[in-house]
Amino acid sequence: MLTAQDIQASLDAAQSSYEGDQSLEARENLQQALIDLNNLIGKKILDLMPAELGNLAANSTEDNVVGGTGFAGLMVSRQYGNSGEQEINVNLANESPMLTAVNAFLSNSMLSGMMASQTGQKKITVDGYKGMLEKSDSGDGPVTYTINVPLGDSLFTFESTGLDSEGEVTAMVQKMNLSKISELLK
Amino acid sequence: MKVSVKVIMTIIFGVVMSIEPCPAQKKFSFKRGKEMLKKAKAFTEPEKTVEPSKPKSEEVSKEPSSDHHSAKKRKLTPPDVEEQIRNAKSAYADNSYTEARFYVRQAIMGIELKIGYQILKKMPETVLGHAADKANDEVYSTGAGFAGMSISRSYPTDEGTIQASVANSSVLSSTAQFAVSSATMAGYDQNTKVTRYKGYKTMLEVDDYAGYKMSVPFGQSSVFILNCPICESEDQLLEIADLYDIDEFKTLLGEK
Repeated sequence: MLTAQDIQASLDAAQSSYEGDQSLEARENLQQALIDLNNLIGKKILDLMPAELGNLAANSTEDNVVGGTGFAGLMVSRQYGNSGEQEINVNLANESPMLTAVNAFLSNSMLSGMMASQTGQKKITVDGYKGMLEKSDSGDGPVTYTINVPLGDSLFTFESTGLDSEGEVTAMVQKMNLSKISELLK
Repeated sequence: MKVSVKVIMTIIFGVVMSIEPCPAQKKFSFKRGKEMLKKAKAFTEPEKTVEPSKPKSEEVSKEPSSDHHSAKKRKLTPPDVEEQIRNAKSAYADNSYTEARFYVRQAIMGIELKIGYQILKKMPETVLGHAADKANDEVYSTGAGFAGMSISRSYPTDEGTIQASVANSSVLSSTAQFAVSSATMAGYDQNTKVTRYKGYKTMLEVDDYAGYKMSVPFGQSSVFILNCPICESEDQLLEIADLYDIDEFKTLLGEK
Protein backbone atom coordinates (compact mmCIF):
# COMPACT_ATOMS: atom_id res chain seq x y z
CA MET A 1 0.00 0.00 0.00
CA LEU A 2 1.28 3.44 -0.91
CA THR A 3 1.73 6.06 1.71
CA ALA A 4 -0.31 9.23 1.64
CA GLN A 5 2.80 11.32 1.08
CA ASP A 6 3.19 9.80 -2.37
CA ILE A 7 0.00 11.39 -3.62
CA GLN A 8 0.69 14.69 -1.92
CA ALA A 9 4.21 14.70 -3.37
CA SER A 10 2.90 13.97 -6.87
CA LEU A 11 0.36 16.78 -6.63
CA ASP A 12 3.00 19.21 -5.31
CA ALA A 13 5.38 18.21 -8.09
CA ALA A 14 2.64 18.62 -10.69
CA GLN A 15 1.84 22.07 -9.41
CA SER A 16 5.42 23.28 -9.42
CA SER A 17 6.12 21.72 -12.84
CA TYR A 18 3.10 23.40 -14.34
CA GLU A 19 3.99 26.74 -12.79
CA GLY A 20 7.48 26.28 -14.24
CA ASP A 21 5.93 25.75 -17.69
CA GLN A 22 6.85 22.06 -17.67
CA SER A 23 3.48 20.79 -18.86
CA LEU A 24 4.67 17.31 -19.78
CA GLU A 25 6.32 16.75 -16.42
CA ALA A 26 3.17 18.02 -14.71
CA ARG A 27 1.14 15.56 -16.76
CA GLU A 28 3.36 12.66 -15.66
CA ASN A 29 3.06 13.65 -12.01
CA LEU A 30 -0.71 13.93 -12.32
CA GLN A 31 -0.91 10.52 -13.97
CA GLN A 32 1.03 9.07 -11.05
CA ALA A 33 -1.28 10.84 -8.59
CA LEU A 34 -4.26 9.38 -10.45
CA ILE A 35 -2.92 5.82 -10.19
CA ASP A 36 -2.21 6.28 -6.49
CA LEU A 37 -5.63 7.82 -5.83
CA ASN A 38 -7.33 4.95 -7.63
CA ASN A 39 -5.44 2.46 -5.48
CA LEU A 40 -6.29 4.36 -2.32
CA ILE A 41 -10.00 4.59 -3.17
CA GLY A 42 -10.03 0.91 -4.16
CA LYS A 43 -8.48 -0.09 -0.85
CA LYS A 44 -11.05 1.98 1.08
CA ILE A 45 -13.86 0.30 -0.85
CA LEU A 46 -12.47 -3.14 0.01
CA ASP A 47 -12.33 -2.10 3.68
CA LEU A 48 -16.07 -1.34 3.55
CA MET A 49 -16.93 -4.80 2.25
CA PRO A 50 -17.68 -7.49 4.87
CA ALA A 51 -15.00 -10.03 5.75
CA GLU A 52 -17.47 -12.85 5.23
CA LEU A 53 -20.85 -13.51 3.65
CA GLY A 54 -22.77 -16.30 5.37
CA ASN A 55 -20.26 -19.11 5.68
CA LEU A 56 -18.12 -17.81 2.82
CA ALA A 57 -15.01 -15.95 3.94
CA ALA A 58 -13.35 -13.28 1.84
CA ASN A 59 -10.39 -14.66 -0.05
CA SER A 60 -8.19 -11.65 0.60
CA THR A 61 -5.37 -12.90 -1.61
CA GLU A 62 -7.76 -12.41 -4.54
CA ASP A 63 -8.58 -8.79 -3.59
CA ASN A 64 -7.78 -6.64 -6.53
CA VAL A 65 -7.68 -2.95 -7.34
CA VAL A 66 -6.94 -1.84 -10.87
CA GLY A 67 -6.79 1.85 -11.52
CA GLY A 68 -5.40 4.26 -13.98
CA THR A 69 -6.53 2.71 -17.22
CA GLY A 70 -8.67 5.45 -18.66
CA PHE A 71 -11.09 3.22 -20.52
CA ALA A 72 -12.13 1.13 -17.60
CA GLY A 73 -11.46 3.64 -14.82
CA LEU A 74 -11.18 2.16 -11.35
CA MET A 75 -11.98 -1.51 -10.81
CA VAL A 76 -12.23 -3.25 -7.46
CA SER A 77 -12.91 -6.92 -6.99
CA ARG A 78 -13.21 -9.40 -4.12
CA GLN A 79 -13.95 -13.09 -3.99
CA TYR A 80 -15.80 -14.92 -1.20
CA GLY A 81 -15.31 -18.67 -0.77
CA ASN A 82 -12.91 -20.67 -2.84
CA SER A 83 -14.15 -24.22 -2.44
CA GLY A 84 -15.30 -24.31 -6.02
CA GLU A 85 -18.82 -25.35 -5.03
CA GLN A 86 -20.04 -22.08 -3.63
CA GLU A 87 -18.44 -18.82 -4.58
CA ILE A 88 -19.30 -15.13 -4.73
CA ASN A 89 -17.47 -12.60 -6.88
CA VAL A 90 -17.98 -8.93 -6.18
CA ASN A 91 -16.91 -6.28 -8.63
CA LEU A 92 -17.08 -2.52 -8.71
CA ALA A 93 -16.24 -0.88 -12.02
CA ASN A 94 -16.05 2.84 -12.45
CA GLU A 95 -17.27 4.02 -15.87
CA SER A 96 -18.32 0.51 -16.82
CA PRO A 97 -19.60 0.11 -20.39
CA MET A 98 -22.41 -2.05 -18.92
CA LEU A 99 -23.86 0.93 -17.04
CA THR A 100 -25.99 2.18 -19.91
CA ALA A 101 -27.69 -1.18 -20.43
CA VAL A 102 -28.39 -1.70 -16.72
CA ASN A 103 -29.70 1.85 -16.31
CA ALA A 104 -31.93 1.38 -19.36
CA PHE A 105 -33.39 -1.77 -17.79
CA LEU A 106 -33.97 -0.06 -14.45
CA SER A 107 -35.42 3.18 -15.77
CA ASN A 108 -37.62 1.81 -18.53
CA SER A 109 -40.47 -0.19 -17.01
CA MET A 110 -41.63 -1.44 -20.40
CA LEU A 111 -38.17 -2.83 -21.14
CA SER A 112 -37.78 -4.33 -17.67
CA GLY A 113 -41.26 -5.89 -17.97
CA MET A 114 -40.40 -7.44 -21.32
CA MET A 115 -37.04 -8.74 -20.11
CA ALA A 116 -38.56 -10.09 -16.92
CA SER A 117 -40.94 -12.26 -18.89
CA GLN A 118 -38.39 -13.34 -21.49
CA THR A 119 -35.08 -13.69 -19.67
CA GLY A 120 -35.92 -13.93 -16.01
CA GLN A 121 -34.27 -10.64 -15.11
CA LYS A 122 -36.01 -8.55 -12.51
CA LYS A 123 -35.68 -5.39 -10.47
CA ILE A 124 -34.69 -5.54 -6.83
CA THR A 125 -33.65 -2.99 -4.20
CA VAL A 126 -30.29 -3.25 -2.47
CA ASP A 127 -29.67 -0.95 0.46
CA GLY A 128 -32.09 1.55 -1.10
CA TYR A 129 -30.53 1.35 -4.58
CA LYS A 130 -32.34 -0.11 -7.57
CA GLY A 131 -30.67 -3.19 -8.99
CA MET A 132 -31.11 -5.85 -11.63
CA LEU A 133 -31.20 -9.52 -10.63
CA GLU A 134 -30.61 -12.25 -13.16
CA LYS A 135 -30.73 -15.99 -12.64
CA SER A 136 -28.89 -18.41 -14.84
CA ASP A 137 -29.60 -22.11 -14.53
CA SER A 138 -28.49 -24.34 -17.35
CA GLY A 139 -29.74 -27.45 -15.54
CA ASP A 140 -26.47 -29.38 -15.62
CA GLY A 141 -24.33 -26.90 -13.69
CA PRO A 142 -24.53 -24.74 -10.60
CA VAL A 143 -27.11 -21.95 -10.44
CA THR A 144 -25.72 -18.46 -10.91
CA TYR A 145 -27.29 -15.25 -9.68
CA THR A 146 -25.99 -11.90 -10.92
CA ILE A 147 -27.02 -8.63 -9.33
CA ASN A 148 -26.03 -5.34 -10.97
CA VAL A 149 -26.48 -2.08 -9.10
CA PRO A 150 -25.52 1.28 -10.65
CA LEU A 151 -23.87 3.65 -8.16
CA GLY A 152 -23.46 6.98 -9.94
CA ASP A 153 -20.91 6.43 -12.69
CA SER A 154 -19.89 3.03 -11.28
CA LEU A 155 -21.45 -0.39 -11.58
CA PHE A 156 -21.53 -2.79 -8.65
CA THR A 157 -21.80 -6.45 -9.65
CA PHE A 158 -22.46 -9.34 -7.26
CA GLU A 159 -22.28 -12.80 -8.77
CA SER A 160 -22.97 -15.97 -6.84
CA THR A 161 -22.30 -19.50 -8.02
CA GLY A 162 -23.71 -22.58 -6.36
CA LEU A 163 -26.19 -20.80 -4.09
CA ASP A 164 -29.65 -22.10 -4.89
CA SER A 165 -31.85 -19.74 -2.96
CA GLU A 166 -32.64 -16.32 -4.38
CA GLY A 167 -33.58 -15.17 -0.89
CA GLU A 168 -30.17 -16.18 0.46
CA VAL A 169 -28.38 -14.29 -2.31
CA THR A 170 -30.45 -11.10 -1.96
CA ALA A 171 -29.92 -11.18 1.82
CA MET A 172 -26.14 -11.45 1.29
CA VAL A 173 -25.94 -8.55 -1.12
CA GLN A 174 -27.66 -6.30 1.43
CA LYS A 175 -24.56 -6.69 3.61
CA MET A 176 -22.24 -5.12 1.06
CA ASN A 177 -22.46 -1.59 2.54
CA LEU A 178 -23.53 -0.06 -0.75
CA SER A 179 -24.58 3.27 0.78
CA LYS A 180 -21.15 3.76 2.30
CA ILE A 181 -19.39 2.66 -0.88
CA SER A 182 -21.58 5.02 -2.88
CA GLU A 183 -20.78 7.84 -0.46
CA LEU A 184 -17.07 7.21 -1.00
CA LEU A 185 -17.49 7.31 -4.76
CA LYS A 186 -19.32 10.67 -4.80
CA MET B 1 -66.53 18.04 -45.55
CA LYS B 2 -63.87 15.83 -47.03
CA VAL B 3 -62.48 18.76 -49.03
CA SER B 4 -62.24 21.04 -45.98
CA VAL B 5 -60.37 18.38 -43.98
CA LYS B 6 -58.02 17.97 -46.90
CA VAL B 7 -57.54 21.75 -47.07
CA ILE B 8 -56.76 22.03 -43.36
CA MET B 9 -54.33 19.10 -43.46
CA THR B 10 -52.64 20.54 -46.53
CA ILE B 11 -52.30 23.98 -44.92
CA ILE B 12 -50.79 22.51 -41.73
CA PHE B 13 -48.40 20.34 -43.70
CA GLY B 14 -47.44 23.24 -45.93
CA VAL B 15 -46.74 25.55 -43.01
CA VAL B 16 -44.70 22.91 -41.19
CA MET B 17 -42.70 22.13 -44.29
CA SER B 18 -41.85 25.77 -44.92
CA ILE B 19 -41.09 26.74 -41.32
CA GLU B 20 -39.20 23.65 -40.17
CA PRO B 21 -37.27 22.25 -43.11
CA CYS B 22 -35.29 19.12 -42.36
CA PRO B 23 -31.59 20.12 -42.46
CA ALA B 24 -30.68 17.42 -44.94
CA GLN B 25 -33.53 18.22 -47.28
CA LYS B 26 -34.26 21.80 -46.35
CA LYS B 27 -34.18 23.16 -49.89
CA PHE B 28 -36.49 20.46 -51.16
CA SER B 29 -38.77 20.71 -48.15
CA PHE B 30 -39.04 24.47 -48.41
CA LYS B 31 -40.05 24.30 -52.08
CA ARG B 32 -42.40 21.45 -51.32
CA GLY B 33 -43.93 23.45 -48.48
CA LYS B 34 -44.51 26.41 -50.76
CA GLU B 35 -46.13 24.19 -53.36
CA MET B 36 -48.43 22.72 -50.73
CA LEU B 37 -49.43 26.21 -49.56
CA LYS B 38 -50.17 27.17 -53.16
CA LYS B 39 -52.33 24.06 -53.50
CA ALA B 40 -54.20 24.95 -50.34
CA LYS B 41 -54.73 28.47 -51.62
CA ALA B 42 -56.14 27.08 -54.84
CA PHE B 43 -58.69 25.08 -52.84
CA THR B 44 -59.85 28.09 -50.84
CA GLU B 45 -59.67 30.75 -53.55
CA PRO B 46 -60.32 28.96 -56.82
CA GLU B 47 -61.98 31.94 -58.47
CA LYS B 48 -59.19 34.47 -57.79
CA THR B 49 -57.14 35.51 -60.77
CA VAL B 50 -53.48 34.82 -60.53
CA GLU B 51 -51.41 37.96 -60.03
CA PRO B 52 -48.22 38.35 -61.98
CA SER B 53 -45.42 36.79 -60.02
CA LYS B 54 -42.91 39.01 -58.28
CA PRO B 55 -39.43 39.38 -59.62
CA LYS B 56 -37.34 36.28 -58.98
CA SER B 57 -34.68 38.16 -57.03
CA GLU B 58 -37.22 39.39 -54.48
CA GLU B 59 -38.57 35.89 -53.97
CA VAL B 60 -35.12 34.44 -53.52
CA SER B 61 -34.19 37.05 -50.96
CA LYS B 62 -37.09 35.93 -48.78
CA GLU B 63 -35.98 32.34 -48.78
CA PRO B 64 -33.55 31.30 -46.06
CA SER B 65 -30.03 31.07 -47.32
CA SER B 66 -28.46 27.64 -47.54
CA ASP B 67 -26.21 28.59 -44.59
CA HIS B 68 -29.19 29.56 -42.47
CA HIS B 69 -29.09 26.37 -40.41
CA SER B 70 -25.38 25.58 -40.64
CA ALA B 71 -24.26 25.12 -37.06
CA LYS B 72 -21.33 27.13 -35.80
CA LYS B 73 -18.66 25.04 -34.15
CA ARG B 74 -18.51 26.22 -30.57
CA LYS B 75 -15.80 25.25 -28.15
CA LEU B 76 -15.46 25.43 -24.41
CA THR B 77 -12.27 26.66 -22.87
CA PRO B 78 -10.03 23.87 -21.54
CA PRO B 79 -10.04 23.29 -17.76
CA ASP B 80 -7.81 25.71 -15.84
CA VAL B 81 -4.96 23.37 -14.88
CA GLU B 82 -3.62 25.38 -11.94
CA GLU B 83 -7.10 25.68 -10.45
CA GLN B 84 -7.76 21.96 -10.91
CA ILE B 85 -4.48 21.04 -9.18
CA ARG B 86 -5.28 23.41 -6.29
CA ASN B 87 -8.75 21.83 -6.00
CA ALA B 88 -7.24 18.34 -6.10
CA LYS B 89 -4.82 19.21 -3.29
CA SER B 90 -7.52 20.66 -1.11
CA ALA B 91 -9.90 17.72 -1.75
CA TYR B 92 -7.08 15.32 -0.92
CA ALA B 93 -6.31 17.22 2.30
CA ASP B 94 -10.02 16.84 3.23
CA ASN B 95 -9.82 13.07 2.58
CA SER B 96 -12.25 13.47 -0.34
CA TYR B 97 -10.35 11.08 -2.56
CA THR B 98 -12.94 10.67 -5.29
CA GLU B 99 -13.22 14.44 -5.54
CA ALA B 100 -9.41 14.70 -5.72
CA ARG B 101 -9.41 12.07 -8.47
CA PHE B 102 -11.97 14.07 -10.45
CA TYR B 103 -9.83 17.23 -10.27
CA VAL B 104 -6.64 15.34 -11.20
CA ARG B 105 -8.37 14.01 -14.32
CA GLN B 106 -9.57 17.50 -15.19
CA ALA B 107 -6.02 18.83 -14.77
CA ILE B 108 -4.64 16.10 -17.06
CA MET B 109 -7.33 16.92 -19.58
CA GLY B 110 -6.40 20.61 -19.40
CA ILE B 111 -2.73 19.85 -20.08
CA GLU B 112 -3.51 17.47 -22.92
CA LEU B 113 -5.83 19.97 -24.58
CA LYS B 114 -3.12 22.61 -24.30
CA ILE B 115 -0.59 20.29 -25.95
CA GLY B 116 -3.18 19.41 -28.58
CA TYR B 117 -3.73 23.05 -29.52
CA GLN B 118 0.04 23.56 -29.77
CA ILE B 119 0.23 20.64 -32.21
CA LEU B 120 -2.63 22.03 -34.26
CA LYS B 121 -0.75 25.33 -34.54
CA LYS B 122 2.12 23.43 -36.15
CA MET B 123 -0.08 21.83 -38.79
CA PRO B 124 -0.26 23.49 -42.22
CA GLU B 125 -3.22 25.73 -43.02
CA THR B 126 -3.49 24.55 -46.62
CA VAL B 127 -2.73 21.26 -48.33
CA LEU B 128 -2.67 20.97 -52.13
CA GLY B 129 -4.36 24.36 -52.22
CA HIS B 130 -7.20 23.23 -49.96
CA ALA B 131 -7.72 25.25 -46.79
CA ALA B 132 -8.01 23.58 -43.41
CA ASP B 133 -11.48 23.49 -41.92
CA LYS B 134 -10.16 25.04 -38.72
CA ALA B 135 -13.62 25.35 -37.20
CA ASN B 136 -13.65 21.57 -37.06
CA ASP B 137 -10.16 21.06 -35.63
CA GLU B 138 -10.41 18.30 -33.05
CA VAL B 139 -8.51 17.87 -29.80
CA TYR B 140 -9.75 14.98 -27.74
CA SER B 141 -8.56 13.95 -24.31
CA THR B 142 -10.02 11.46 -21.86
CA GLY B 143 -8.28 13.14 -18.95
CA ALA B 144 -7.10 9.76 -17.81
CA GLY B 145 -3.74 9.94 -19.46
CA PHE B 146 -3.68 6.33 -20.46
CA ALA B 147 -6.64 6.19 -22.78
CA GLY B 148 -4.88 8.96 -24.56
CA MET B 149 -5.45 11.98 -26.63
CA SER B 150 -5.98 12.63 -30.30
CA ILE B 151 -5.68 15.70 -32.46
CA SER B 152 -6.94 16.05 -36.00
CA ARG B 153 -7.32 18.61 -38.74
CA SER B 154 -9.22 18.16 -41.97
CA TYR B 155 -8.98 19.79 -45.39
CA PRO B 156 -12.25 19.32 -47.24
CA THR B 157 -12.20 19.09 -51.05
CA ASP B 158 -14.90 18.29 -53.59
CA GLU B 159 -13.50 14.79 -54.05
CA GLY B 160 -12.98 13.91 -50.41
CA THR B 161 -11.41 15.14 -47.19
CA ILE B 162 -7.71 15.07 -46.48
CA GLN B 163 -7.18 14.41 -42.79
CA ALA B 164 -4.11 14.61 -40.58
CA SER B 165 -4.22 13.15 -37.06
CA VAL B 166 -1.83 12.72 -34.18
CA ALA B 167 -2.69 10.26 -31.43
CA ASN B 168 -0.85 9.75 -28.17
CA SER B 169 -1.17 6.79 -25.79
CA SER B 170 -4.29 5.63 -27.56
CA VAL B 171 -5.49 2.43 -29.16
CA LEU B 172 -4.60 3.98 -32.52
CA SER B 173 -0.94 4.41 -31.60
CA SER B 174 -0.50 0.91 -30.22
CA THR B 175 -2.23 -0.57 -33.26
CA ALA B 176 0.07 1.36 -35.59
CA GLN B 177 3.16 0.40 -33.56
CA PHE B 178 2.14 -3.24 -33.83
CA ALA B 179 1.35 -2.99 -37.53
CA VAL B 180 4.74 -1.62 -38.54
CA SER B 181 6.68 -3.91 -36.26
CA SER B 182 4.94 -7.05 -37.46
CA ALA B 183 5.11 -6.25 -41.16
CA THR B 184 6.87 -9.48 -41.95
CA MET B 185 4.43 -11.56 -39.92
CA ALA B 186 1.25 -10.18 -41.38
CA GLY B 187 0.10 -11.15 -44.81
CA TYR B 188 0.24 -7.73 -46.40
CA ASP B 189 -0.79 -7.45 -50.03
CA GLN B 190 0.14 -5.04 -52.81
CA ASN B 191 -2.04 -2.37 -51.21
CA THR B 192 -0.05 -2.24 -47.97
CA LYS B 193 3.64 -1.79 -47.35
CA VAL B 194 6.01 -0.78 -44.61
CA THR B 195 8.75 1.65 -45.49
CA ARG B 196 10.90 4.30 -43.82
CA TYR B 197 9.91 7.94 -43.80
CA LYS B 198 12.35 10.43 -42.26
CA GLY B 199 13.81 7.54 -40.28
CA TYR B 200 10.46 6.34 -38.95
CA LYS B 201 9.00 2.96 -39.88
CA THR B 202 5.89 3.88 -41.78
CA MET B 203 2.92 1.98 -43.10
CA LEU B 204 1.51 3.02 -46.46
CA GLU B 205 -1.88 1.81 -47.59
CA VAL B 206 -4.06 2.40 -50.61
CA ASP B 207 -7.70 1.64 -51.11
CA ASP B 208 -9.92 2.25 -54.13
CA TYR B 209 -12.42 4.18 -52.07
CA ALA B 210 -10.44 5.71 -49.18
CA GLY B 211 -7.36 6.56 -51.25
CA TYR B 212 -3.88 6.77 -49.75
CA LYS B 213 -3.09 6.53 -46.06
CA MET B 214 0.15 6.66 -44.10
CA SER B 215 0.67 5.78 -40.45
CA VAL B 216 3.89 6.85 -38.77
CA PRO B 217 4.33 5.60 -35.21
CA PHE B 218 6.82 7.77 -33.31
CA GLY B 219 8.23 7.85 -29.81
CA GLN B 220 6.98 5.20 -27.45
CA SER B 221 3.27 5.76 -27.79
CA SER B 222 2.35 8.20 -30.55
CA VAL B 223 1.31 8.00 -34.16
CA PHE B 224 0.86 10.43 -37.04
CA ILE B 225 -1.81 9.41 -39.56
CA LEU B 226 -2.44 11.07 -42.90
CA ASN B 227 -5.45 10.15 -45.05
CA CYS B 228 -5.52 11.47 -48.58
CA PRO B 229 -8.43 10.33 -50.72
CA ILE B 230 -7.50 12.73 -53.53
CA CYS B 231 -3.82 11.86 -53.83
CA GLU B 232 -2.88 10.32 -57.14
CA SER B 233 0.36 8.69 -56.09
CA GLU B 234 2.51 7.67 -53.15
CA ASP B 235 4.86 10.51 -54.03
CA GLN B 236 2.08 13.04 -53.71
CA LEU B 237 1.14 11.58 -50.32
CA LEU B 238 4.74 11.87 -49.11
CA GLU B 239 4.91 15.41 -50.47
CA ILE B 240 1.97 16.33 -48.27
CA ALA B 241 3.48 14.48 -45.31
CA ASP B 242 6.53 16.74 -45.61
CA LEU B 243 4.32 19.64 -44.53
CA TYR B 244 4.02 18.09 -41.07
CA ASP B 245 6.98 18.20 -38.71
CA ILE B 246 6.77 14.87 -36.90
CA ASP B 247 9.92 15.62 -34.88
CA GLU B 248 8.26 18.73 -33.52
CA PHE B 249 5.12 16.78 -32.60
CA LYS B 250 7.42 14.34 -30.82
CA THR B 251 8.99 17.14 -28.78
CA LEU B 252 5.61 18.67 -27.92
CA LEU B 253 4.35 15.30 -26.71
CA GLY B 254 7.48 14.72 -24.63
CA GLU B 255 8.28 11.54 -26.53
CA LYS B 256 11.80 10.13 -26.65
